Amino acid sequence: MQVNLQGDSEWIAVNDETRVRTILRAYGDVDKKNIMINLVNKPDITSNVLRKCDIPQTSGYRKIKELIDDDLIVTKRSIVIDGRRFYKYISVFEDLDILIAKNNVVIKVKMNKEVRNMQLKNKMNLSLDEQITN
Amino acid sequence: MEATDNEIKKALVFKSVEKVLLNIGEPVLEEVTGRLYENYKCHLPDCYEHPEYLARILKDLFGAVHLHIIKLINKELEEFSYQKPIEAFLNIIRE
Repeated sequence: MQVNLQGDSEWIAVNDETRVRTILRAYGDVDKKNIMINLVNKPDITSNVLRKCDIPQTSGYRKIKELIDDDLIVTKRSIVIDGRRFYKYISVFEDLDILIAKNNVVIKVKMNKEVRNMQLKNKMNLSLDEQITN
Repeated sequence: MEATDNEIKKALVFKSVEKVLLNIGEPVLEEVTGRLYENYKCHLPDCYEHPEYLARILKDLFGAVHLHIIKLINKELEEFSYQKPIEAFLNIIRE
């Protein structure tokens, strides 16, 4: 992936063909797109997001699983309700842009700030662990 | 979202057709894109709006075998065929 740090926004051009197809197939699915849009600003548990998006449970759980497998939504944190653990998910991308020119399609995505911060935090924890080990 | 529904579907259809043609062989993709431009002054993504161009070129190039290619494209896009524009695209290339 190519990162563009110009200006305030951080758009990433996706160059990997498999990733491009995965992203397009996910955003091309009406339910999956609604799930991802719903999880941009506020992490939520599966049952809530399916209710908000008006998606039946059976297909909804499968679609959420596919989005997790495709790394398009990630776990933000977990909560315990009545002794049961539930995971709150958040979208990896906050926006998508498509440029179509001649025989080429360029997909640009804007990383969700929350996810970027989570990744940064994980990286810092990892390097701290390394320093402690060394 | 910056990308419109139409752009997403157009890109999805383009990538699916491109994948099928590439799997058959790069020269096939080149031949199809070349003929699209030569005959209709358009590019592969434009086939989303003009599926009849793609259907015609595949028929001319492959004869009866074009039905197999259409079947492969159909398989790629089958799960999105509940959406009207994709259903329309598939119906026209199947004609």
